[in-house]
Amino acid sequence: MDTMGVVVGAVGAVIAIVVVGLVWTVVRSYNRLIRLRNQTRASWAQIDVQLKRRHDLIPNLVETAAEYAAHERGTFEAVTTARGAAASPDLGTAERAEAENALSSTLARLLVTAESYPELKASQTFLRLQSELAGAEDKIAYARQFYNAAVQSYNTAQESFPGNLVAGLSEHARQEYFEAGAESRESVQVRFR
Amino acid sequence: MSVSAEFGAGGAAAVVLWLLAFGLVLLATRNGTVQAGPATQELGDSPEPPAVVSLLANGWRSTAHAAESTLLDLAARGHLELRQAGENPADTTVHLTDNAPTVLRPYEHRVLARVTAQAGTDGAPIGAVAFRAAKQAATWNRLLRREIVAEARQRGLSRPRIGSALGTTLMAAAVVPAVLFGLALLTIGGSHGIRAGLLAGAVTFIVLVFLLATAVTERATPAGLDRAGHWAGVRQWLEAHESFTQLPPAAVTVWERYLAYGAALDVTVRVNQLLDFGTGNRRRVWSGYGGTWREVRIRYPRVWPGYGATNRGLLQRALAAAVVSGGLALFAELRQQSWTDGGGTLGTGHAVLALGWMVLAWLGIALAGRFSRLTAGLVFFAGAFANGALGDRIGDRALDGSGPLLGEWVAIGVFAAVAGFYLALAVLDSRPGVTITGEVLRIESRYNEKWPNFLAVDDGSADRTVAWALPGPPSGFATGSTVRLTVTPSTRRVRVVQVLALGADYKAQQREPNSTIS
Repeated sequence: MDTMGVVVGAVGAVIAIVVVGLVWTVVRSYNRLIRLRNQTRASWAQIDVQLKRRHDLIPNLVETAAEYAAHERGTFEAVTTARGAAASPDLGTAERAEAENALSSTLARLLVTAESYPELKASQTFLRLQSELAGAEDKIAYARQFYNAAVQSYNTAQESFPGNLVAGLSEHARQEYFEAGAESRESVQVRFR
Repeated sequence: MSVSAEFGAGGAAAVVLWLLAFGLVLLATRNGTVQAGPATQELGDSPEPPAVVSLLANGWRSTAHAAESTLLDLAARGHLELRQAGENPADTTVHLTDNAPTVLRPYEHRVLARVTAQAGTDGAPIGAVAFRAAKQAATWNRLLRREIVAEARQRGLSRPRIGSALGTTLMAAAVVPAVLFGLALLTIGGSHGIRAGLLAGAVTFIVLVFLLATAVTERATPAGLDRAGHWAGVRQWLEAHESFTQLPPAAVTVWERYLAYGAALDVTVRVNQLLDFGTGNRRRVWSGYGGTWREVRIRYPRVWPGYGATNRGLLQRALAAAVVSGGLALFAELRQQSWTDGGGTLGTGHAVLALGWMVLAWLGIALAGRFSRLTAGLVFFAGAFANGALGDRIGDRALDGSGPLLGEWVAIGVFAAVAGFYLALAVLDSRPGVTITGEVLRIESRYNEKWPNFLAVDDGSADRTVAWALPGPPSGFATGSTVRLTVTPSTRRVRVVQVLALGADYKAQQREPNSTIS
């Protein structure tokens, strides 16, 4: 083999290695984006499950409260309206978060109202529903944390190299966070030295 | 076939039968397969504590990260608080809270007691919860495991792999081959036969019982397998969240029990790196001596001429180095042309002198070995080279009576310097010792030698220290004890140890001197 042949062979080998490396990087980034996107969807599904669980509790809660506090019709209607708005299937993530936060506010008002009615406070049915609601709220909070963590990873992967190139070539878009309401934000206390 | 051979064959057959039975027991009591459930964030209505989850997640074999996850669980429940001071998660401190627990499980109490002992009222770095002594860490973790296993059994999730009746039967059956082997050698006759018979019987029994002991572990119950499948699903869920795996310990404020379960399931990589209830890092130890927690870096000298040597030892080494130096000079002066037999090799008449040279070389190598293995190797190769040059083909220059060669001058000079060095150390060692007071951070064995031990003491004056050489086993103190040492700084030798305060580790050792927990 002459010198020219050796040079051509070496250059060809280098090009082949570079091409294989590029393809491998692209495939890896693409697969990672797909995995992270699926994780955001799975996390959203968990939120959805917990939110539906909360929605299912609300009619019973309102009905029980209405038996003892019939004068608080305005509060009950506000809760029912907020629930209807939150349960609308056409909402995007941000709108859904807003609607759910509004629902949380009206529910909080309902529970405050219940404090004025000793018989309602003593009702076992109401107490059970209240407890289940608190449990559902907790699970929603954790589900929201998981969802936001998944979104953060997904968005970061889309903005980092080479994920940004791969995301640009394929159907990947930034996901919106499921923002907590003001009350929820305040409940987290982190104290540093 | 002789009687002895018959007993031997019988013993072999009994061993095979025993192993067969043991194998069948192992086969029948093996753990079932855990069917991982779907990935989920649901912990369940009354989830098992993280420590029990760690047992399930580790196939009932170990409870790795059980203590760490329990600490996080206590923090999630508000009994402890983790604070991260800056960007670095390693700078996290653990504090007791006002929310003292009313009821705790035994292993939770153990973890809390350990944290309380270290953190006190002011808190401590998370790295300080690690133990400073391997034996203490092993005992503590064995007790922790026993308590966790007890709870898992109580919950119907775990059971002994080999029950007491079956275990006793197998142990009794192990006597049969032991007796047969013993009789095989006993029937050979003579006092040797009796001893050999007893030994063979004992060895056979011990080996079989050792095998049996390896199987005295835990195994799953059907309910345990079911729960392990659920936790495998939780693990999948947590693992899929990349950011979750990198959370720092202080994130327990936000993630609460999820972080504890993440640690138990070995998902939280960073948390599991930073929290350690084992022996910790022997070179970086947290010390609270002097009132402020500091990470003290410890150096264990590998090359330190005269490290830990007594005055007598130093003088012996000085003398040996002087003998080597002087001997080499004498040898160079004495050799002459008549030493050769004319063919360039040594004459037999002067082999004795050559042997003397070899002894010098050996002494030189032994002396060099006191510095390090590397210097011993260098001296060995230098000696071998010189031996080859002088033994096989003695050059005219070496035998012309003009004295030592250049290489020999170097060796003479080096050994003379070594002699002077050891002599200087001996003089320094004869002076009154220096007194230091501090807390014992670590007591480590030095290489494979039994003594002296490395004794690392923090006197509160610096964040770095060099381990002292303790010429004997630690007596009456342990890690954590406050001691006053009288030392020789030049050799790092500890002359006198005066114990000022025993410390918690010593008291714990006295409470649990020899734990025999399965």
